[in-house]
Amino acid sequence: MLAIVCQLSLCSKNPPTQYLPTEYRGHHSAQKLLPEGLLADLANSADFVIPEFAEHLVRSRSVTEATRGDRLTSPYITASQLPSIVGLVLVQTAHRANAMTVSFFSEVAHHPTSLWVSIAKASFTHSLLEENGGRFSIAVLTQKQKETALQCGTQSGRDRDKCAALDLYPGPEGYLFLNGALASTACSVSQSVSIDDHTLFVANILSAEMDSRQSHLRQLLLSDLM
Amino acid sequence: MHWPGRTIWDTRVQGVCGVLSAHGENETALFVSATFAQLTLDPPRVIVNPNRTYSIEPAIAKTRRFAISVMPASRQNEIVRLMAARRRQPDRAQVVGLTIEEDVEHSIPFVGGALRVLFCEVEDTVGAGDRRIYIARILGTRDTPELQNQRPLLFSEVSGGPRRFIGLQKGVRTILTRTGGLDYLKKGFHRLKPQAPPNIALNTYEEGGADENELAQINSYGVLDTSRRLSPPNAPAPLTKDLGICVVGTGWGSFHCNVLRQASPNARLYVCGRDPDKTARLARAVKAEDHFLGIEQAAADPRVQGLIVALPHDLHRHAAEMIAAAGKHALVEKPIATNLADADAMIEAAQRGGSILMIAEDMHYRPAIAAAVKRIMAGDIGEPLYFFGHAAGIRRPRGWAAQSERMGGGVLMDMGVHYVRALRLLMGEPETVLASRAMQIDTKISGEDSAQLIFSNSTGWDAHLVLSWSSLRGNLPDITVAGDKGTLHLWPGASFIDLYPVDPPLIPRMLSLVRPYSLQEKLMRPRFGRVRIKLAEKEGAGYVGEVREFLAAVAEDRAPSSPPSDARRDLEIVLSGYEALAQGTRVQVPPLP
Repeated sequence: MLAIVCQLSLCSKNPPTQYLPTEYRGHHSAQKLLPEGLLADLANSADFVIPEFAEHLVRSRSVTEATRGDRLTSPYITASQLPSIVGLVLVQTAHRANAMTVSFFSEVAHHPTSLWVSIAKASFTHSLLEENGGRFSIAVLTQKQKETALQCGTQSGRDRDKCAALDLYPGPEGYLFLNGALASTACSVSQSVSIDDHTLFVANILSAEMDSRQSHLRQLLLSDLM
Repeated sequence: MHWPGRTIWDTRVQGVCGVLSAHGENETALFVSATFAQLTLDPPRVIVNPNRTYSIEPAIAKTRRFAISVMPASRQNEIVRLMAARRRQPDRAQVVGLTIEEDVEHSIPFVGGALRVLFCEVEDTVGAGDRRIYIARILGTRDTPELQNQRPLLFSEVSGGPRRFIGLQKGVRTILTRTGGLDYLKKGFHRLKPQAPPNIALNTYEEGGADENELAQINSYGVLDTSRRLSPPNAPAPLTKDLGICVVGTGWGSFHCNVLRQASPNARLYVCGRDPDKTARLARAVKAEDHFLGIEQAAADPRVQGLIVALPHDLHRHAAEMIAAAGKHALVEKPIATNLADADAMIEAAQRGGSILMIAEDMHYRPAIAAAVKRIMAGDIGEPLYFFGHAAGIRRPRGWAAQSERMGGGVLMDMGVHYVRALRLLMGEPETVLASRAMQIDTKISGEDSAQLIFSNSTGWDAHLVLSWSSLRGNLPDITVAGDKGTLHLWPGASFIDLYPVDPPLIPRMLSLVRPYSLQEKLMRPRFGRVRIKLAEKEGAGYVGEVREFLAAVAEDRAPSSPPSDARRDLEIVLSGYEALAQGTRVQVPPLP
């Protein structure tokens, strides 16, 4: 097993070392750790297991950790400052569907009834949202759905149809809902705000469904994924 | 089985529970939130969207700095209490017993004992309906290492108010969900009580949303109700020190002799009067150590440390000045005086003499009032809207009490000061008063035998007093406080108070499902909707408490918990009532400094 830990940043001479595993933190530049060519190869490799959580970092040439064949640790887990609940953003266009694990989301307002989700601009989900006019659903996962969260958070939808492995069903107006989730909610983006490398999507809640068989379970937390 | 979500709370997007805190107007603004999350990784930013009807919103908007204290699962009870606490209650942390600390580096208050605290500074705001999105940069964090093995508290664990038998409830719920029993129960319930269509936007708005006009209307009364300046004191302990107390007055004074005996068996009782026979008779009846003829004699006696004055109202000033001049302490019956000039002179005399002047106002020490105030602050009745004070009973005052110039008026002066104090303790300081009265029944007195007053405060509450010596109250509470989430009934002399929550207890909730309706009506009883709260103190009135407090103040040589200025204010409000009665229009109560 080849374990490679790297952080490559062509954008900044002092990349954020918080994305590095603990033992490498403190290095001003992770480029010193590994040859640059190898890093570039890794970042561009088609079969390289890239966390979608960290997809935007790859696109800005900033890779966190790469372990061929191993699951990657996402900065959205390790560098998150807040313990949060975990959900899936499900997006569908005429040609593709995708599921992305998220923890940067919450309720916005009771009138209009809305929620927000923050999505990295470089992510596949972001491009799909731009394509379909901002229609998505959020499935809030239960504590028993850790594997689902990891599957949809450690692979890119560009390379693989993650929805194929999910137990999805069509909700109202064709939104994708997830069986076994605590709740699935259909949303339509009402405003988007660009904030650095993320976009804050504020979306009206159109409808939702709860799975009564899961209602005794608690939500999946980021800490459950560590 | 999939059920349609009816409100935003069904979406489960409310997750980890924390407390937002910021420096507010003369308080630390606190708000329980489960709708914060991180926005970006680098630089780390968060989003919060506090409710715009709570004091936290203007506090964050003004200071631009706030903390998110992520609470551990073990702090469930405190957070439930904080969520339930009255919305416009200042210093909510104190009410629920949370410790507030200050981060010196960032000058931001936070909740002690949090799993993790994030100190944040607002970068931007985004309007989003009835909430405002605050985008904030994380300035720093603080962890509590000993709590790191705990998971964070979740919204689902604190929503729905205080719960009992949590473990049992969880167990039952798990069985019902796994077996599908919950689905059957829900279906059955919906058959009995058909649900509205699952319009998530409409239902959420109806239950907890507001448009801009509504928000403006709600906030026009202020995000904090600071009208209440008085607080009921803790119940004073019985006196253990040996003190000589002389009761002045042989009429109502005899009542005070009995109260003194109940308040402290250690106090040496003396009696003072003008009539030798009457005074000696009372002294024998109450087993007094000795008796005096004339207040000068009593005040000069070295065995006497304090005097309880139960004389006609117009004599209060003279008695208080004489006692103060003798260097003795005085507990003077209410009202403090018949006019503000006399009240001021009494307060000044006590200050000059370095002695204690306390006014006997039992409402201040009435256990039911203290318990009701706690319930109000805890949010049991929501926002207090109406206070009803009903003091009635057939009384035919004669002698000095029938003369309005000696009494200071009629029933409004005599009973009004009590209920004004109750109003001030339970609701706050009135700003305006309107008064009227029914026909005079007792034509043998020069003062009024009944009156009604309506007090108002711009923070959004009204108070109605009905005072009468010519009608009976019957079996009714003498004080009722009605709020948007419940109503409190206080009964005279009772050692309990009654709470009628808007969300009814289990029995009436179950009975509401009984069909046909005729059977439901037969089974339902008003008392089923009542929660009776027993008081720790046996004495329902506050007489013993007020005397104990006076004795404690004398023994400890300290100011009493209710200074005479409180009684002066009661008198000032009552005099405003008389002015309103004379003018027939709404009158401004002089504002407090």
